[in-house]
Amino acid sequence: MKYYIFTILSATTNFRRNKLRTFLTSLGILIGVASVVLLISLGLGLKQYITDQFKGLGSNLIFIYPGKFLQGNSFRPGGGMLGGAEFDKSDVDSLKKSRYIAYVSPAFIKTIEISTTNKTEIGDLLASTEDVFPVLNLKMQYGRSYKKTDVDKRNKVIVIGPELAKKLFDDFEGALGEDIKIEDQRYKIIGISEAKGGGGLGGSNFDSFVYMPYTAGLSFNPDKKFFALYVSAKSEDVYELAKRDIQRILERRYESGDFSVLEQTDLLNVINSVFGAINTVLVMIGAISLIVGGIGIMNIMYVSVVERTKEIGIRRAVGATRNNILIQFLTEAVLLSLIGGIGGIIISIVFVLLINSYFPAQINILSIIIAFVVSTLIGIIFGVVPARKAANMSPIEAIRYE
Amino acid sequence: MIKLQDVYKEYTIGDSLLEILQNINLEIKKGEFISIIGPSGSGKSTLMYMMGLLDIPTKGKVLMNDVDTSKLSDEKLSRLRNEKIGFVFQQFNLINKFTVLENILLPTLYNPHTLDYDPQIKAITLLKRFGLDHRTHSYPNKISGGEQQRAAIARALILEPEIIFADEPTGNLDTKTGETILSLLEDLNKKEKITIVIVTHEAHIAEKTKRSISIQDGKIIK
Repeated sequence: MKYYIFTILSATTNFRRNKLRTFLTSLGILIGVASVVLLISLGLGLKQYITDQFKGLGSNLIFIYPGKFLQGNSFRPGGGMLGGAEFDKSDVDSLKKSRYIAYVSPAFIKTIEISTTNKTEIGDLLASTEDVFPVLNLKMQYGRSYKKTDVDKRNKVIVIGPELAKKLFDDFEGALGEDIKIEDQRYKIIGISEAKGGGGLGGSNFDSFVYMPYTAGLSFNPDKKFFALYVSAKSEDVYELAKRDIQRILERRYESGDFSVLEQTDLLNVINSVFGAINTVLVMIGAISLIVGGIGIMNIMYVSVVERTKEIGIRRAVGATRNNILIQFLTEAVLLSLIGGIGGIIISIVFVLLINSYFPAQINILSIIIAFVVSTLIGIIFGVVPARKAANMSPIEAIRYE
Repeated sequence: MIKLQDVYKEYTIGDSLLEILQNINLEIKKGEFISIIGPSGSGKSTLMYMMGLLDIPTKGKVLMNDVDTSKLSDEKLSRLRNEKIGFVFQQFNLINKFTVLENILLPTLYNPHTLDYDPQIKAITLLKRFGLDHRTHSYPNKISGGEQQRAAIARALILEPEIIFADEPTGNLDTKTGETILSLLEDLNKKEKITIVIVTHEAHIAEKTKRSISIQDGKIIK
């Protein structure tokens, strides 16, 4: 025990004597660990954010997107970008005829600029029908949602999310009835929705959306085409029947490969596989910097072994075995790597806490444990060769080294 | 306690064979105070390191307490150095980043056995005895050569060795300080019956020992 404590103390003595060198050497590992932990945290946070959002949606939801997203049960990369069906109002009407379907909400989504008399903010527009509220399970906090008559009469009315309302107005109730300008058109705020939290449908937050009758926003969408259709089945019992009906109805108009009928779980799978792939690539990039950091440690350990040849000789003369010397240098390499690793973990935790109010990031205990283990392993892997060199030195040559 | 039988030490440098030691037969008995004298390059230091189990012969045997050390593992050799042998060097060879006390305690770290005394107390006793108590927490490069050498002797004594090898122990010291170091070693031999082997190139130092072995060109000549 005394021996191990001294070995560690002896290593820290060396670090204290070479502060700058220690710092620079562990910096490589620090950057590597920080980037890996941070990327995992951001990835997990984003995934959680979107998953939470889905949980907040109405039940028995079915999503219809153009293009073919799934192949069997797995996600087909780029599926949504291959074009395919372009939905319009007639699709909404024909789907609504199905006796298994309760609501159909078409969706046109666009990033827009919203201005009051003295403020301008960026938000997302979701132009749809009155069905959007039951489908997305959106309740009003103040005012009312827009109705079928608003859609039919093309009333320039909007409902805004609470986060956007907070940015634009100091007082929610005062916001009701106010006029705001969206790209040169005036709209009246008739409602503010309840906070839902989480992320939008793969995009922004529901709480900062502008909800508008699609008929009032034709200047943004002159083709009257929709990016997606969100459908609510009448009950859980008819969910599968509703899906089949949708398939049948849409196939009258489109090729079966031109659209995808997805469940929440399908969509979550898609999101998971996309994030999985992105995360893997990012973590691999982080891992490369860990290897580079490891090489830095190896390099400096070699220098250290040469510099301390005489010390190795002295230790051998007073009774240190080869193993003692090996353990001594290995301990130093591992500690060097751990300093970087712990520094990286601390920096990523601080960073995650700092950005948490702007971006959903989560520190995951497992990633911290892995970072810890990985930095230990890097210390061992990159420290063992220099340590062996030290251990295998002939004591007599070492002690005579000048 | 140490016996060398037909010991040779050779190095090949490029094509040429360098014979450092040739046909060395030597016995050092327990409690002896002995010097090995020879000019520089005669092989006397190599001989000392061979007896101190820091180096191994190319041919021949080194026996310690009748055990053939050529058959011992690194671990066993290290254990013998740790427990039975103390070294004192011309360059003192203290580790500068450790304090005097830490240097003296260094051998105890590599000793796996529980000692029947507290090494800390023993070290402090030695420091007092050698007049170094005010240097306990000093760093070696901040104290004089004589003090460093006394600290090095204290380190050699911490595990109560049977034999101390001193390689030109006064080589880096002025005459007066050298004298005190020598009488210190003499004292250890007399009072504590520790076998002392001094390697030197100076005749007046060799004269102080009870037995002197002369070595030249790798051979014992007297």
